[in-house]
Amino acid sequence: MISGGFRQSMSWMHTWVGLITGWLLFAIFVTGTLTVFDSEISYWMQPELHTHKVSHSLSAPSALLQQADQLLRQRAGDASYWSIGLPGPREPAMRVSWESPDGVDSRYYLKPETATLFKVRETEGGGHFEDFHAQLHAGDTGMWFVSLLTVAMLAILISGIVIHKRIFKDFFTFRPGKGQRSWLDAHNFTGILVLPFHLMIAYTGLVIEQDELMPAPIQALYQDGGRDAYYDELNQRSQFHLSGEPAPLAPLLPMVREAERHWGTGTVRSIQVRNPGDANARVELYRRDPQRLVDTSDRMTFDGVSGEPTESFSVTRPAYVLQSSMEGLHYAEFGGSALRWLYFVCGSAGAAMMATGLLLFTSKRSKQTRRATPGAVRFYALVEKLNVASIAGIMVASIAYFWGNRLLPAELAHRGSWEITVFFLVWLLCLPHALLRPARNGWVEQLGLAAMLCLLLPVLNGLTSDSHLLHTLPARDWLLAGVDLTALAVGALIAGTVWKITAKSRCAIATGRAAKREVIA
Amino acid sequence: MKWILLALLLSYAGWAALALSMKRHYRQLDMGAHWRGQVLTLRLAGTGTLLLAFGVCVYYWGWILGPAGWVGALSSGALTLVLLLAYWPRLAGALAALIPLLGWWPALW
Repeated sequence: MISGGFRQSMSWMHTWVGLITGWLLFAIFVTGTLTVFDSEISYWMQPELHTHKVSHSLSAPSALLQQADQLLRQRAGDASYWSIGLPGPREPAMRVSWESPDGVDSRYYLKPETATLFKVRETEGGGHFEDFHAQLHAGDTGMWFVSLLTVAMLAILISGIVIHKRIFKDFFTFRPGKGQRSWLDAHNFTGILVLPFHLMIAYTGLVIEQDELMPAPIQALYQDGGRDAYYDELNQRSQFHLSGEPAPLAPLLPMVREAERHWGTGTVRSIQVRNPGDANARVELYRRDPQRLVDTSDRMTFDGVSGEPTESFSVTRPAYVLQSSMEGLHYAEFGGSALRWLYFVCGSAGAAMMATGLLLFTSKRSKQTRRATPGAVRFYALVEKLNVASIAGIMVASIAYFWGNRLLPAELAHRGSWEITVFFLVWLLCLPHALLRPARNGWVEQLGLAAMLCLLLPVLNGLTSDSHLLHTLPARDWLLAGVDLTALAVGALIAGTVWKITAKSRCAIATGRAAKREVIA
Repeated sequence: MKWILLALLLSYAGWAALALSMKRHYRQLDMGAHWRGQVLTLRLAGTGTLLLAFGVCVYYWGWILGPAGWVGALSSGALTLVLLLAYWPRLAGALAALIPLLGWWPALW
């Protein structure tokens, strides 16, 4: 198969590795792009939170914090672990959770008006997209699989640059409506114009998993403790043991004030209390800092009984700063929502690059079918159907996940797993549908379904909650309205694509009808 | 938010100038006859505008986050330009012409 010079072999590699990895890489890119807004999606998926909104402005949390402190002492005095998530710009809610001595987790939110705790529906939220993106919901095996695909992606990107003969001449060129030519143009400009992002996201995607992909150094140095011991040392987390002697826990608010004195007001992201009520109780405060690329939070630790600060930790060692910056670059937790939107645009362009590449494979070969062997023709037909199931299918499944979040009963046990089941089941059903239908019908029906589910999501939101656009737009609640508006925009885009695909046949039907009428007349 | 908008507008305008320095897009936008030193002027203006966008990003995000934001703004501006050139070339040209005239308004907010 491989013949001739360097460029030909690169071209062969680009085509075939691109084809076999493209189906899954597209899904990983789509879910990764959605993960950029994982907190926003999680918030949207918990309508119970929308009515008890908590501002993350400066003075509000102090009263809330005292409420949370009191409630935890009343309800979870014997717990081994408390955790408080303070409201932030991406989740205007106050989370209060604890772990009982026998290891049962309880997770509540604070209702500030009545100073009581309430439960919200169990949901995987945006975490589902993150888990699928990083490990396909398959743990370490999935992580390895995704990492291998990422290596392939780097190779495909480099070979793509090698075989692209007119990078600068065609830099701004896109000629739509010209079949194969247009697919190639679109593939090229979504690849070239966003190339720094593609290279960065693939490279950092690998580097952030270095401790699992290259575990030998950690295993050699930390035989007993393994990775946990390594991270404890890296993050300067001293060993902690229970004394068994009871001692009252110091109030939390002064500790937050002390941390804010160093970090600035409103910057405490979460509070973790280990063994509250014990003489060795320890309180850890974590910082929220969107001004830093480094993804590891600063931490201040307090003695739980005296309330005095005992240690503070910040990533300063150059190697750790570099590693943590790679995580920051990949997760886009820095720079605020403007930067997240740039990531969303670049990620969508990456998904478009993969989709157009896959379409190019079949579009190139559909012209050569006269010369191809029957086996090759069957193979190309199969590829086209698999394109439908992977490209259109993942879109249907992703938006169906949002529907599942709202339509599954709120009290359902193991609700989070059911949501994921909805996602996989819908995707799985797209496969036989794509295989059974002619490819063109497959595209139109699945993309049409995805467009409809996207366009109707705001309606479903209105029927299942009070936080629909008629409320969120006048209130300028962009956090919630953003999800609905993005669904509308994506739905319109997909609907436009379907309109384009069906334009020719609609035209043919119209002329056919006109001809019939003439005959009758 | 206004600084990121400014960076996006500058990135778009810079790429538009670079595109106009190419014969294909110059003709596509019906810019009339060529003039002396046109290619060089447009390339310098385009590169300069993209560097100005770098300045805006560093001003807004600082030296560490700024370059990352700049690369994102460059990609997004270029994607917008290519799509506008393909589907609404007149709008692409009009927007590119308006930015040097009105593009600085986000900075005044």
